[in-house]
Amino acid sequence: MDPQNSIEILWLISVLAVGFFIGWIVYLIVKARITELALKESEAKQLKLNKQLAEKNKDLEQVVYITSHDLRSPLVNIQGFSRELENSLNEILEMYHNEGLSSNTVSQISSILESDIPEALRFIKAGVTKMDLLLSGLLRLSRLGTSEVRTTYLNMNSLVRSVVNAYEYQIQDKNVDLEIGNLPECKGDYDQINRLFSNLLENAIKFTHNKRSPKIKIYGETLDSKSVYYVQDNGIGIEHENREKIFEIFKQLKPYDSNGEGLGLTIVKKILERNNGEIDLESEPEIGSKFIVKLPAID
Amino acid sequence: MKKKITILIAEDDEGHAILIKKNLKRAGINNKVIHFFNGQQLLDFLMKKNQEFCIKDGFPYVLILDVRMPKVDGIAVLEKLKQHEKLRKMPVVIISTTDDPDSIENCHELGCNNYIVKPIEYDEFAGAIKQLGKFIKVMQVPEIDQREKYEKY
Repeated sequence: MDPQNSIEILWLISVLAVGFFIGWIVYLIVKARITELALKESEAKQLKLNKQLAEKNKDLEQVVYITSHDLRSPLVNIQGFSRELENSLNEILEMYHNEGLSSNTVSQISSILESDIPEALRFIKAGVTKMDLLLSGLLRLSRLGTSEVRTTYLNMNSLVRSVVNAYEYQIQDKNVDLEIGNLPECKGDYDQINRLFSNLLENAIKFTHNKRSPKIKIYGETLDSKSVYYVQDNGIGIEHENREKIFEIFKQLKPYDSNGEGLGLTIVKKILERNNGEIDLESEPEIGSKFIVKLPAID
Repeated sequence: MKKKITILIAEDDEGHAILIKKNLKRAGINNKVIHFFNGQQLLDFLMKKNQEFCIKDGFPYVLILDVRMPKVDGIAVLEKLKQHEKLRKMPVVIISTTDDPDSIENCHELGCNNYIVKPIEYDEFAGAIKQLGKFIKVMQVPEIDQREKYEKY
């Protein structure tokens, strides 16, 4: 081969190689840039979505707060004036008992004054009480979503003792055999965790089985950097299909058997969301329930 | 002779105002009561917008103030009063359906003398107004005077 040719070929190959190399670098740079841009764009989108979501949540909480507050205002009137009406009614009753009216008129008036009107008033007042209960529950729940979580180390033995003390009357009234084991410490907001265990204990006391004497056991352990607490009862239990439902807002499985507002477990769930905790439920109908609460342990 | 206190009630809900008045009477408070339906009406009265219907100099007043009202709300009224050189001495009792701790604290910080949550249970409501009656009876109420000659001391 002509040496001149081979130099030219070599030169050509080098030029091609350098060209290819430069092209490849340019390709890599462009590709990186595009990925970066796409990433930035999706990040921006994500941020925007998060912001929108936070705003929507805030709106919703505000709506709940305002409606529940404003709805209470007319209740003050309904309740107040029903009572005033009742007072006036009693005055009339007293007056007409003292007057000499014909026995027929008396019996007519007395059926109105002594049964019809009081019955109507009783329903109005009961409706108000129920609505007040629902609204204050709703308010409490909405406040829970906005209030600050003050995380501290919690001595759970003393926290649960104070919860139990608050339910002393109900415990004695229902003759509950209550057993409390040693409980590990954890991290959480004192007031909120106190409310959480109050609600669980309250449910355990409320839903006892009428065929046996009620037993409640509260105990705990530390598992994989979590403090785990068990609130176990031998009450009426919960059907499998209702295990998720009981945490839903205003869900009462047996609304006529209890006088709560149906928010206890919704509040429990919300508290756990806000305190990095979790809740599980093991339950058999007619045998009893075991609520399992997990909270961050102290490292 | 000690001059009789006039009670000013700012309350947009007429029913609430009537129930407050009824229960004040039952608590033995027979003072004159003037009712305003919103904060603006009240401020006009206090700031003497209309010479025919306004606060009288040299007389003691107590204000019962609702928080949520149209036009000017109770918080704005409270803020304005407490910034006013003379009117700031007038005792203010907030009465509201809001039992939000932040709102209550805010009103105390702004300088209200008492905060009453309107309970829905009527016995509690009547009880709260009875307490308010006692509070008004024992409260030292300064005479409000916006006249020039009193400015000196």
